[in-house]
Amino acid sequence: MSRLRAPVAKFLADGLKGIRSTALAGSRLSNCRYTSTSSKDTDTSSHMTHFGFKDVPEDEKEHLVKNVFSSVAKKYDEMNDAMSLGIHRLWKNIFVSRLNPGNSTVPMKILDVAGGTGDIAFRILNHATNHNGDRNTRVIVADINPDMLSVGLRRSKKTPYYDSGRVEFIEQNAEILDKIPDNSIDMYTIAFGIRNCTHIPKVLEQAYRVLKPGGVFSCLEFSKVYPAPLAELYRQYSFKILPLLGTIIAGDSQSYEYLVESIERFPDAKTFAKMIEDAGFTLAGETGYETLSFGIAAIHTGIKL
Amino acid sequence: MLTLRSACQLTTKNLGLHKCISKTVISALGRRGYHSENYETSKISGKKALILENALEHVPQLGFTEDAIVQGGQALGYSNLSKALFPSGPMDLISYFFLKQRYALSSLKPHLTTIPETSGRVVQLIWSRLQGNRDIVQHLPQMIAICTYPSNLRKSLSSLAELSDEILYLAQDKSADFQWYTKRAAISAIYSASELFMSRDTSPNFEATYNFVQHRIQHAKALNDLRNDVLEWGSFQLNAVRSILRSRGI
Repeated sequence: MSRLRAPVAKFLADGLKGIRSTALAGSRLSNCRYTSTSSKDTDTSSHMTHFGFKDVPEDEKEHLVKNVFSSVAKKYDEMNDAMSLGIHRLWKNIFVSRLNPGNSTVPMKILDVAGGTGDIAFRILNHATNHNGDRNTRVIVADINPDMLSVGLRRSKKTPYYDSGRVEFIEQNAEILDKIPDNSIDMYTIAFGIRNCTHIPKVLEQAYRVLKPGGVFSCLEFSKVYPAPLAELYRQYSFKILPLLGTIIAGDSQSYEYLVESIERFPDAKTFAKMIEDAGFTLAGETGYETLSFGIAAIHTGIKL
Repeated sequence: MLTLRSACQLTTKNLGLHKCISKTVISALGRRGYHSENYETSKISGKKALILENALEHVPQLGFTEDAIVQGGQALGYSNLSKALFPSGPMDLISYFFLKQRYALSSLKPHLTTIPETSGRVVQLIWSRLQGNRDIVQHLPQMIAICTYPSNLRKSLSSLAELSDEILYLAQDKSADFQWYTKRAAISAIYSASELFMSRDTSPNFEATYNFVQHRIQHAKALNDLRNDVLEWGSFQLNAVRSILRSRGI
């Protein structure tokens, strides 16, 4: 009986820790709601946008998203592994190999947006160096969240790219990108980040501005699962299991609830391809996208011609 | 049925393709409902088409390769065009080439009105299409090889079906029964065989290819006549049997 009691006690302790963290997260969100109320009172022209399933003033979304990612920054990879059973690593590998960075006679300048932890940037540099023998291609990692950037910077110090200066981290809003000059980028990548931006069309606009003619825009993002029975199964998994995993692993269920909800709210592959085309890009291939794992994720590619 | 079986045999014999591919040809043909006079809106348009257009200028020298596409892009000022734009690479270029050649057949309409027989018009259309291969004849084996990759097969068979559809439409074939399918299958087979023949033809102005096309069309026509004769004979026999049975009071 004493032996049985120990694991139960441990589980309860973890549960309590989760509850405490949730309370703190809730408190933070409460503060945000108070602020938003105040903001709404003072500015009657405020527009609403969605934050997961909630509607919030447009100017508040950025702040709320920042909090979400600050909250999960340190446990980001562990949580991603748990949620996708490691498949997100395969998706990212496919994403980078499709782009084939470094396959060029001149050194490439690549911008990875919303890639603070460096997952995509390091894969790009590995591919360019090992697969294409290119030791001059450089990657700029831009992220709006300094906590994610600091994780990425710390990780980069363990790679050969830090000393050679081939990777750079800058704090940037994807909708503004004021530190990146016009027509200066060969390849623009954004993985699991565009759905968190308040104005997706503005992000696409900026992507178009910074790319050189012939430059490639590529986006890895969650999409709609097909066929229907599988979609329902995935939905149940998303809304019931993932927040629970968030509680257990990262001690933060509210942030992961937001992540699941934002996936649900993001447009489907065809609609998003149209948005990319409307921004001025020519879609790659016939449709402009390639689905992965029954549509859980999709790679969208466009070229600035 | 004889014509259909014969078409399969033609395909198998002359192209060396496995029979299952013959079945794929026919099922691909069968999937199409009707031929529309209005061309489908092209999936390749704008600057993409421009790049492929420029790339085709380099095909006589470079063949259907990634290099030709890169050269096509450079002509428009894109120093380092990404492979992402044309994921299928050479097959995208070949598809565009097929599309362009098929559209060009329309210019033959005035000439076709002077030919009384449908089969004569079909010969001219196939010959005209083969003339489009004149400048790239040394790359035909490569093109055919790329078309038969498993990942490209669906696209190339679809193009072939559209071509035979176009040829019969321009030849003003009036079939509205099952014959329509057998004729399209036969034309697909004949065109494929002729194209393969052309890739090895060294005669002046490809005269041997022209004779090959004529011979194949006449052969297919004879088979079709035979089919009609057999059907007529069957019908006669059926009537005879019915008469005998009726005369016995049954």
